[in-house]
Amino acid sequence: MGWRMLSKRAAFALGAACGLALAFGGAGARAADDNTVVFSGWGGNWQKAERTYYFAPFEKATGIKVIDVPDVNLAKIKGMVDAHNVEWDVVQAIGMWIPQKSASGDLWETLDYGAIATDGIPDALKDPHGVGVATFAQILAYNTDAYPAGKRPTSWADYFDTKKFPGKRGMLNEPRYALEIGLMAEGVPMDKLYPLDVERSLKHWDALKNDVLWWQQWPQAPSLLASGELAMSLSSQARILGLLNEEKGAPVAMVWNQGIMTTDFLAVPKGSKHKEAAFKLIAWMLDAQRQADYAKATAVGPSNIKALQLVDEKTRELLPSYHYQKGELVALDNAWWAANLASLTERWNQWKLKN
Amino acid sequence: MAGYGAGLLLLPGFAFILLFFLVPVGLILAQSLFDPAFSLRFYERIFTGPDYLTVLWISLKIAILTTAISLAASYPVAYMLVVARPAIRSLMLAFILLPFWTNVLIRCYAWMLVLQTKGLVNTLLVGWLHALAAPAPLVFNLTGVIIGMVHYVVPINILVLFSVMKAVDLRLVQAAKGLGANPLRAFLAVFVPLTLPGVRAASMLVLVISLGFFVTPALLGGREETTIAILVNTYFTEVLDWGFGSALAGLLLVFTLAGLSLYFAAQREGAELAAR
Amino acid sequence: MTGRFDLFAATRWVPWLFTGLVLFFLAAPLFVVVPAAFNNSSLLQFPPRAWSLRWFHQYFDNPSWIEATLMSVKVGICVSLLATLLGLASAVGLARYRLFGRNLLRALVMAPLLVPVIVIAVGLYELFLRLGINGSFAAIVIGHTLVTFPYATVVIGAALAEIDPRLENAAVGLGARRPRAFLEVTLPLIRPGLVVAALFGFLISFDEVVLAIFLTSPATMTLPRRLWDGIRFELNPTIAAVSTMLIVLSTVVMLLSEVLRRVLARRSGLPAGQGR
Repeated sequence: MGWRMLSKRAAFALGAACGLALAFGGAGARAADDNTVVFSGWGGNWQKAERTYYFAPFEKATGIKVIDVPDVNLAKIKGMVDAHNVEWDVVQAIGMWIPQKSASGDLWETLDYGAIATDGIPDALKDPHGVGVATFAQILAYNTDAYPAGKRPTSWADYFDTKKFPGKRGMLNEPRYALEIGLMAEGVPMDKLYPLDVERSLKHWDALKNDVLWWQQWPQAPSLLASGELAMSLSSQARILGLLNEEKGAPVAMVWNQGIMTTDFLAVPKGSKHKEAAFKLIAWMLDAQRQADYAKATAVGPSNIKALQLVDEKTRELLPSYHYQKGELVALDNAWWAANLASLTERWNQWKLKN
Repeated sequence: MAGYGAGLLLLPGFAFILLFFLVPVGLILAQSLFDPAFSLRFYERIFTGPDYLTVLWISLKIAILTTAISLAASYPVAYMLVVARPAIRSLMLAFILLPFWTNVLIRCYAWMLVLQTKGLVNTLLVGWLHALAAPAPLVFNLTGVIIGMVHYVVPINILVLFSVMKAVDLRLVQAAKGLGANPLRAFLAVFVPLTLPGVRAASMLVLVISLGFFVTPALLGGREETTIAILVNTYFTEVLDWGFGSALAGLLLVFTLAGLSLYFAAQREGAELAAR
Repeated sequence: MTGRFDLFAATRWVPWLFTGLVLFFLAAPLFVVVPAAFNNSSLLQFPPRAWSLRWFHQYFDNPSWIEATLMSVKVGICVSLLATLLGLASAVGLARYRLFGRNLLRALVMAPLLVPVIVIAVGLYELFLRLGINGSFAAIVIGHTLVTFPYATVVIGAALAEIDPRLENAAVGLGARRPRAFLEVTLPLIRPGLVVAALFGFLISFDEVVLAIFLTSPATMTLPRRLWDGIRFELNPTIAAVSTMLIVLSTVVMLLSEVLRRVLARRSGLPAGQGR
């Protein structure tokens, strides 16, 4: 009896607490202060560094408060644009998102390049709707125990050469990157990749397709490489460097050659409530010195080429922008992918499911 | 015994579903019919493309296998829960609830480490026991998906079955035994039929969960384990083609709902026939 | 039955062995997760290379992890209550409702589990943006209630199907009012179902991430949502430490309640004069 009474009372108390929380918890979610700008980034340690090297000094210099929220998400952006209630003012977007559209038209505001100084930013990274801020590289990584020194892979052709380089391969289960990689392995020069010859690339993959571990999430690759489950795989320079930084002596190495450089863009979702402040923050984040400081802390590549001169040699070696300038990387063609993503996703699944 | 209060009791639940499911999700799913004028283009694409029906079949295969295996694993355990002494039962419940305390994403990564070629199971079988000459492919294929999915649904399955079995009068089984039936027959002829409503409910729940869940197939599957739920996710979050994603989701929804209501109708008819 | 070979007694260990195997299977990922919590590595790996408590430090040194845990608990409790109440009303309603469309309504309850959760997330996100309650506590509670409500309805419905409606009718026939008869006769009988429904509400909410990504704000960030933070770059083993602590905590709670149950049972067994 006591037990039952106890649970009855507990249930009642919980119910009351819940009702109160529901009634009052709703308030306070919105704070549309005019002197703020909401930045949406990718979270984690890198957004922490963005706070240190970009937002904190920005707040001090302009008096505009930056609210930074983690984990940007394309579907969420489309949702807020379609609902005409835009919560974010500056978004760190994957390059491919910039040319995409919402149901009601553009996803992004047109940038006012009169208000945004772009000294040092290459023209290729200046889109009417977004401007490049950080560069990354998707590269070939391998387990060093699988390949003794002197017999290590150096190109995507080696990735396909299972005779000379035995061992399990891993690849992202998406057409993006895989198609470029197939063509580079066939010997298509990096400056002649786009527009991609999709069928030619798939044909090249046909021989390997059944032996590849097609992973779906980026954190899988470093983990599978380090455990020796995979001998070679696509991964990102950021993750491999992060892993080597964390785990001294992890048996993993990466190849810059023939990597694919991707760029994160800063963009303003259509209908942002703080457009002016957003442009100010974007301009702030393009500055060469600030990007150099951020790069030193994170090994994220700057978009401002002048920033490369402001970092020491050791840091420069780690930055995708530097290797791109050396001609080792190819830049992903965002416009081509945005235009072809839908049809290619379909073609990809069809190809993949066929035995 | 239909009380006029029945409609009133249904009101809060269905108002909730109407307001927070049918309206918002319906508006999204309606995008599959407008492009921007009314059009069946998206559905045509599903039925004319050769691969989407394959994907539907793969999804069904995974769901049905998961449901069958999880029922076989859960039923005896639920029964043992009912007959166990309270202290043992608490201990068993603690085990059954264990998986819930680990985030489902981390659980998948853990399964990768257990099942991969250099994982726990293969090290044990190949390295220590020499039971196998070469590591068995246990993950990044259908086997891996089924293991992960069964692991995800078994606690749910056990708990639903347990809550139903608890209501069964065990004295009936005792009585059958007292009348000379052998214990296994008493169990099969008396206890099992009494729990069938629970089995049906639990299996339906598990089947539906397996059809809609995408994290486990995405992480533990390989080249061929592409499900409708995975595709919907891709079209919504990456391709941003909500029209086609909605068509795929709508297809899954309509087919399954139709299947379920036919099933309920058949079940009711069967019950009425039996009552006659 | 004496003098005859008792098959059931001789093979009693078989169901126990089977139960043990299933429970072992449920615990299997923990052989990786728990060591990972004490591993100095940022990767989930097995076997661990170097022991350390850094992920526990990470958790306790960082208020955002603790806040997220408390938020998850709050959300989970509210969801559990709401889903159970809605599920109870709907299950009773469905059991008594005998009119047109009943089967469709029963199928409809399952719909939130059938639509891939990304679609629900997007639909609710747009709705809440328009209502101006996005990112609020209510938003995430509503979202989670929507996907746990089907569990509650099915579990409670299955429990109801198991009991004889004549019991409640008999109480009414003896002069009790319908609500009182329900509370005094039916409700105690379906209590295991209610408990399991409430449990599902809490546990599923506690582990849900997709809705949380869309419907929470930094002020209402839940634990799985916190785990998602930064996953583009790193898989954070802090969550393995969280799992380990939750497992220990839940075991302690389970043991305490077992002790409490025994103490209460003994006390209520005392002679009346000595009780309170």
